[in-house]
Parts: sequence; C-alpha cells; structure tokens
Amino acid sequence: MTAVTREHHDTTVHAEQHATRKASAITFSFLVVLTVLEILLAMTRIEGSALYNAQMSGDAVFWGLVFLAASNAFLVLFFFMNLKFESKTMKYMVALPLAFPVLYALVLIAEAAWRRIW
Amino acid sequence: MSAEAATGLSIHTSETQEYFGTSSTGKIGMWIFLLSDAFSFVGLLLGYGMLRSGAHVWHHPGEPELSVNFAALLTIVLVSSSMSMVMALTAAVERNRSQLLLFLGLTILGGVVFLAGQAYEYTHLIEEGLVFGRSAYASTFYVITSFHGLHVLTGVIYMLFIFVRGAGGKYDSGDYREVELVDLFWHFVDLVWVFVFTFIYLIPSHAGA
Repeated sequence: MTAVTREHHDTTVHAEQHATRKASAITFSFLVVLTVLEILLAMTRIEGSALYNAQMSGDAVFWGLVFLAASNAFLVLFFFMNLKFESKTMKYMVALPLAFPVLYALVLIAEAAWRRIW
Repeated sequence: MSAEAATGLSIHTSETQEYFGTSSTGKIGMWIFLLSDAFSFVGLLLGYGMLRSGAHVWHHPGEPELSVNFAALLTIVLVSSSMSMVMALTAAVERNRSQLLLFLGLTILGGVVFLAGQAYEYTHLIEEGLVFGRSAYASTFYVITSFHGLHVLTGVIYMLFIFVRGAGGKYDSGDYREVELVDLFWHFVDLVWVFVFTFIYLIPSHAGA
C-alpha cells in the first residue's frame, strides 16, 4: 500500500468508526432510558415503593415490561452486536430459530395472564 | 465499504461471501455458538416461567425480596461495559493500541464489578434466608443468575486473554477479528441480562395475586 492510499484508507476507517461510536452512544442512551422506564413501571406494582399504585393493571405492567425488555434486546442485538449490518442469511440464521421459543414464551405468558397470576 | 473489507480481512470464497458477506468464519461460528447458548437461557427462563405460573405460592413467608435497586445498578454497570466494549473494538479497527487497552480494561473492570456485586447480593440473600433447594423461588433465582454469572466470569477471562494479546501488539496490524469475537460474546452477556433482570427481578412477587 502506498503512503497516499494508506492515508486514504485510514481516513475512511476513522470516519466509519466515528459513525459507529456515535450510533453506539445513541443506542447506549436509549438502553439507559428504557431500563429506567422498566424500573419505574415495575415500581408501580411493588408494595412499599413510592410509585406503588394498587389500581394499576398487573397485565398492563407485565406486557409493558416484556415490551421494554424486547426493545432493549433488539437494540443490543442490532446495534451493539451489529446484526443490522450482517447479511440476510446471518439475520435469518439468528432470527428464525429464536422465533419458536419466543412464540412459545408468548403463549406461556398469555396463558399465565389469563389465569391472572400477577 | 465496510471496515472489515477496508482492512483487507475478507477471506471468503465468492460462495460464502454470497451468504455471509464479509463476516469471518470465526464470527459465523461465534454467532452459532451464541445461538445455542441463547437456547440454554431460553430453556431456563421458560422453566422458571412455568414453575412460577403454576405455583400456588411463589414467594414463601420468611424469604427475602430481591433488591430491584441493586440489580438496576448491576444492569447499568453491564450496559456501560457494553458501551466501553464498542469503544475497544473501534479502537482495534483504528489500530489504536492504547485506546484498545484502555477500553478493554474498563470493560473487564465492569465485569469484575458485576461479579463482585453478585457475590455481595448472594451473601446477603443467603443470610436472610433465600437458600438454594428450599423453594422454587430460591432455586430458579440461583440457577439462572449463577448461569449468567458464569458467562460474565467467562467473558472476563476471555477479555483478559485478548487484553494480554493486545498489549503484546497482536492487533496493531489491523487484524481485529479476535476482538470482534470477544465483543460479540460480551454484548450477548448484556443481552441475556436484559431478560434475567426483567423476569427475575422486576416482576413483583406479591402483585395482584
């Protein structure tokens, strides 16, 4: 690699990594906010906490927590683990096998919600 | 052009490139491993869900509540360490050894703090009466969190190995594939904790029963 090509290559790499750091910092901020939201939501059903609210629906809190956790997981998977930038094959390789246990988990949760265990 | 292609690390034939882009074979292997590991956690969490949803009494009198605040602190530590891992990988791509070691060191520190926090939590919970084997609540808590903790410990050892290699100049040439693999593993540990934190700590045990 000549000095000029090398310099051009380094500039490209720095620009790409700068963009990665910026995107990751935004992802990190979202993760913190979503985690705080999760905690606040959970507090509404924890007796003795300042946010405790007996009127709050247990189902709504539970599905809210599931949604926030799934959002957090999606952010980590797509932006920290860079699945967003992988090929279609890689995306399917990861997503399809996981779809079945996720479906099963949703059925289990829905069934537990029907029996109102929380 | 991806950074990987820019550094000339693509080692694929046209056939593998068609399906996996510029991903290294190690990276594809790591994804398959993480997928199989994810199934282990899914199995444990589903088992926990079934036990909990089928139990007449989940939280027996005398057993302590889990501390949401303390677990939240551990969560922030782990998420922050994920961010520092991103910084370590970008430094490796840029062939910046000092930054790589700085951020990898911070990530290792995050892992150690998490493990110390978990040990502290276990000690207190055992003293307060949450003993493995005495209830499904206690047993599932210890099995799932310790299995995750084992992953954190593995990650710390793995990162120490990469740190030593990085300090020796292994990644100065721009071949950052090994750092990329440890990066994936560490984010996976963070990813799993998101679910452990939500399902084990955040779902209140007395709520609305």
